[in-house]
Amino acid sequence: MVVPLSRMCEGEKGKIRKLELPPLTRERLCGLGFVSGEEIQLVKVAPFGDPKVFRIKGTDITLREDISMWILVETSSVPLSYATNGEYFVSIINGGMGFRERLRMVGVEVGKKITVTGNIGKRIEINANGIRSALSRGQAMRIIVRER
Amino acid sequence: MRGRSITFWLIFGGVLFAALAINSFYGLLLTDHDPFLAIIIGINSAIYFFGIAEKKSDVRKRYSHLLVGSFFAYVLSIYQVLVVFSVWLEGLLISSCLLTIEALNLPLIISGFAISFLFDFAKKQIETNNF
Amino acid sequence: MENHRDGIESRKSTIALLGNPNVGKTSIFNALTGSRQIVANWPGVTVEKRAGVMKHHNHTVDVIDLPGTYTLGATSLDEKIARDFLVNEKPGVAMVIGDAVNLERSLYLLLQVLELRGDVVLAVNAVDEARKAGFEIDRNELSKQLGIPVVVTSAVTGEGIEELKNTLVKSTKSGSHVHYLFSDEVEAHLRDLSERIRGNSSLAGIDERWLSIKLLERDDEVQKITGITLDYDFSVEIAETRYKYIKRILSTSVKGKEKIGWNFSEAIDHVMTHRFLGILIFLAVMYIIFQLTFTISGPLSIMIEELLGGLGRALGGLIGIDWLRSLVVEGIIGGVGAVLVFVPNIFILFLALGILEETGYLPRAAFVIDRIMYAMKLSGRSFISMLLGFGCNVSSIMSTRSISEPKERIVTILVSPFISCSARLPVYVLIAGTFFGARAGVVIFFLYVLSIVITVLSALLINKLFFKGEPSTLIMELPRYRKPRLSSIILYTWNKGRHFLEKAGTIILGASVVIWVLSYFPSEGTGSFAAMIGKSLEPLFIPLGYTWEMITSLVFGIAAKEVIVSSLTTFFGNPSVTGTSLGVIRTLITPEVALSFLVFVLLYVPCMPTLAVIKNETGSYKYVFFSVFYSLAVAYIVALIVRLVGGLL
Repeated sequence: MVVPLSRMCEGEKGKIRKLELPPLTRERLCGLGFVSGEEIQLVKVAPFGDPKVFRIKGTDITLREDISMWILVETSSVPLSYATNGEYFVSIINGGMGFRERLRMVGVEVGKKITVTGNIGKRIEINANGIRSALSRGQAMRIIVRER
Repeated sequence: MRGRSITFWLIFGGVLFAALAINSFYGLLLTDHDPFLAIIIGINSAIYFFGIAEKKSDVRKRYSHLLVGSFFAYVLSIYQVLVVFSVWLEGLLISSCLLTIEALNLPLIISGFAISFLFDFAKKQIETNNF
Repeated sequence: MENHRDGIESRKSTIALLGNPNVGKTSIFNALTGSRQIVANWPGVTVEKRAGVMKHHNHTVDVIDLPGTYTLGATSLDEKIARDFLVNEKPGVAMVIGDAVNLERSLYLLLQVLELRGDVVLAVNAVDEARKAGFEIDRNELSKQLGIPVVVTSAVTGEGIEELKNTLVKSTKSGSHVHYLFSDEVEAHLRDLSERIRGNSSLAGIDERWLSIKLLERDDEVQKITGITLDYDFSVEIAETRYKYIKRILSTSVKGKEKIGWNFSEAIDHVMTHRFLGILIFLAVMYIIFQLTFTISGPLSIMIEELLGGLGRALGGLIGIDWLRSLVVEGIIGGVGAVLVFVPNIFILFLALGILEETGYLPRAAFVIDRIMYAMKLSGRSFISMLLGFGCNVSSIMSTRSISEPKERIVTILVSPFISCSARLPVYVLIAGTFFGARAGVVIFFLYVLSIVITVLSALLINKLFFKGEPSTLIMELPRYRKPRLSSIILYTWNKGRHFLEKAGTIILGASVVIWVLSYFPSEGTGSFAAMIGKSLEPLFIPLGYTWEMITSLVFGIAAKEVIVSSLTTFFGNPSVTGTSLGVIRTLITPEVALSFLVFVLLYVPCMPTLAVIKNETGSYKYVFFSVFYSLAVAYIVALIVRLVGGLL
């Protein structure tokens, strides 16, 4: 799926699709290797969520959201909170046993299928293992899903 | 080094520097009362403890905590030596000795130098292993 | 690949160094020139220019270190300088320094240089690190593919430096200039454009193919000088072609498989940029640096003070003429000495900054606190500069050179004077000690907090005023950590420190003489010109309640803020007793006026060396005037508020 660079998961890799940026910024990034088709990885997130460190052509570059949200990448994993309607697999759950347990009760488990039926406002509506439920953004941020 | 050994050294480092921090905060054993330095030593201790918080299977992350923690301890020792030297020099210039045994904070200096061997070890582990 | 006859003459005896930032260009430059180097400014701008001389086997060659860039576009000042030098000065050899571990990116710049000219040498640096990571570079294959000499080097171990020197010296003017081909469509456009350009005699000195490529990339500068602007934009395709070509080259020239897993730098970064530990470590590093600076510079400053005192006494004994003796001892040695005492402080701070920079930690620190700085429309990089301000505002403004965003640089420069420098501390200690006794520490702490608050608010205000409140862009590379080399650190500290001494020293010297003249004639003390100035300004300060002595010392403080102390003691206290006998002042003003005075000292006009550096680094007087009036206004208003509020408590 194609998502803005700012929405990639920590550690995930993606391929750059498009740079919707003013020409001056685009040229600067071009010299650093930000071209279509190039592989990019989110290496690290700063203490407050921004900026982020990306690895491209072997170099680590720091970008803020004001630039990273305009770079579109093709990636296979994304936090559930950014997932559009569709079918996915749950690949990682970042949380303790209590969190996982509550998720299991609504059918969300690592390796299992999950369908997103609605993603607007404060909640994400899902259907997992036949159980329909809605998760908050905060919860959805901690669930990483992969495309089928 | 197996997982259990790393855990041991992380706990050892964490506890040692937590103790040194409390020591400096209250000025207990062979140390002056220095709350700010205590906080800094506490941060060093935190580096070790956060290492324990990493997943046991994530060996490389644990090694990195060991690595940085030990290096930081080494830096603290050097810092303390430099500070002591400056205080001594100042005392020399104004012809009155400003140093006391406590001002040296020997526990810190010794611990820092002692634990720095861990730095070399961790460094070698990281460079030779494919984590 | 084609060969393209290049009939343009080049000056043989100059080598220009190019390369991405952080590839070790400076280390190579140092290795080639030794200590035979001069650091100055590129004309008209505040970018550092390093020039040196390389002596090798009876050859003497000039070496110029061009600013580190990623491309030869003209989007940043650094790029413009590098490109202009290549185009206008036509150095005999252009050496591109690449990073063996990140060869792909380094070759992008190399290709752009090859598009412009021939006589290029490639030095692939950090080859020792590449080996550790599992790569092996086949320099012969690389050389064959690129058509230029290639040397592998390691500035750290010294490998390849001899060979590099040989290659540079032997580099003959072959006149041949290899380039690679783009797609047919692009090549057709290039042919057309080259035709058009060939007719233009004013462009005779510049390679027309290069100009054509730049036109297809819609380069502003080239469009201007050729007068041609195209409708179409091939920049994306051209960039992709370059990278494709690079990938092809690397597939045959670089052998070995990259080790999976972490390298040393990544391991360190896991903790250094850790969600929680990152900031804690940053604070700890800052604390250690500041504590070390103050403790080590303590005895050093005492030594300097004693030396100067001795010098003063010796000279004083030798000079018979009263006014001359006073000028030399109190005026010059006293005035300049007040600043010299701070020199250890400054040098140690620069040393610390140098170590942080050399090891590669600085970008990490900027990364960790960036979010907080973003709220002030600045970036983490500015924070580091501002921290230097606690030592001396001059050094903090000088360090803004490394901030790449011009808007951010200007804002940082303009708010720096509000950071409470160490020169103001003696004033605080003196006044707070006299009026608040045991509570003096709390008062001084309050002043530092106020300093930070005003700095933050001013940053927001100035940004809004001058730049419509737009935040700066952040595109920052995190280079690999490296072991700092002692020689590099010493060179760095010495260069920066010497610049500071030149700037501050010359101005302080002049100012000290002027102050001396004003306070000595027509009669010392209350009958002097200085006193007349103070008395005439007294009406302006009635709301604040300052006496003419205080006002006069404020006027003198414009030269250097620590002068305020000596002025006050001259008027009130016994000059031969240090500091504390200002008792008489307690009968003249109330505590809240004293506090307001301290606030005024903190905030008012930047000292003259600072103003000089502001003019230097911003390149215009407009900002200097702004600085003066803005700070005066802020100082007056806040001091007034403090006095009124203080009076109520």
